[in-house]
Amino acid sequence: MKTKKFEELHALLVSNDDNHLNRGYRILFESLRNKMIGHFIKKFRLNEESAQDLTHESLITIMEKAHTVKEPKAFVGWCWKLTDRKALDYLRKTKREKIEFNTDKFDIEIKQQKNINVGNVDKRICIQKGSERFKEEHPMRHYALELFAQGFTHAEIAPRLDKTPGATKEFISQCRKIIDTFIGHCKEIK
Amino acid sequence: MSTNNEKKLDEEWLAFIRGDMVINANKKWRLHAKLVRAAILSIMAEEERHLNVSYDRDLSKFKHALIEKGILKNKKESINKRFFKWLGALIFGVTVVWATSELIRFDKPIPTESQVEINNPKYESDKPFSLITDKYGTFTAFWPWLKIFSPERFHDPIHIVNTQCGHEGLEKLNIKDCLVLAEQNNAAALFNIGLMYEKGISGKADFQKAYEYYKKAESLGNDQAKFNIEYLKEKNLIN
Repeated sequence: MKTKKFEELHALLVSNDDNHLNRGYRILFESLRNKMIGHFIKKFRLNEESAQDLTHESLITIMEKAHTVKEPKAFVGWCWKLTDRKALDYLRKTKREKIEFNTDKFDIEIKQQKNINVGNVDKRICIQKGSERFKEEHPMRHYALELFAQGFTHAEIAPRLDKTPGATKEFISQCRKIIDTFIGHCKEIK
Repeated sequence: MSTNNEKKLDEEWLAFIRGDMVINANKKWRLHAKLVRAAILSIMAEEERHLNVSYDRDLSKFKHALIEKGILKNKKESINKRFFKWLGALIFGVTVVWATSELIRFDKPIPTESQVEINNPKYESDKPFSLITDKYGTFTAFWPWLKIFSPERFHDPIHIVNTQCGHEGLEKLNIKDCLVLAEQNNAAALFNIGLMYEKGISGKADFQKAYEYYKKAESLGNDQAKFNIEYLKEKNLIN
């Protein structure tokens, strides 16, 4: 969902009209629910149940406090910041530490080619399996690639990853080499 | 591979991941990127399908939470509220229309009670030679003269009667009592008689007679009779 649509959503949520609010809460749920659950799971490594609970709480808070956002353009960024705050609060309460993704390991990972014996399988299936392994080992990068594949710009992805747009661009560009370590062997399959 | 080539390759690869078209791209990497994009999208679709299993349940939970917090209004409740408001407005409107179209009239008798002096029925005949019965049961003639000499033998010539008219509702109006009072120019009794004629309580309805009695009552200051006259006139029940 692009920023402009979020501006329209913001207008619905701050309206006093019951019909607008009824429409607004549905659109909010429809557009953010799955993304938020994914965000909690991929970025904060939460289990699905906790992610669903936090999504529920976050959506309610958005509904309650949407009127505090004075600038509609900032609404989408505010939503994601609020989501992150919820997750950090949760991690603090449950005494879990935020998992930092160390990009310094990048060079080492490239040197360690993941030699997977794929046997005589289809190239497409090989890449699919490689991508799944990539997701397991680099959930944050996979998340960034997912957002990128959906058409989000670096600037839009940046707040979700807690990075600057420049760092996000660099982070995503590194993905090619890393994912190649998981699916490089698939190139040999004809 | 030089750094520039690497950078170019990264950019092309990412463009394919995003689903953009790239001209003169490395064929090997193009296929690679397209397959990776397909894999990413397929993983996303799978996750989406999995999350959508509890979509409806979560939506209703979210809605209830919003209603509980007072952010949203319960649609069912507000429909009921609106319906009752609408019904109230309708009833009020209908009442106003009915009240303005309906003429004001009074159709309940006015209770009236009075002591009335009437001639003693025992002395209905004033003729001096007629036979009457005195207090002791003796028949006698020439009673007007005898009454002068021994008044204790005779009943009082004036009889006081307690008359009630309109105490027990319209159905039980006693026209005789009312007539007694009407003779005394009792406006309420006149009104009650008019009402009896109008409603046809003791016989057929006679609007003309009703009008006459109302008129008399009105002339004696009865306001209710005035409204009933208006009613009869409006409804063209009288000539």
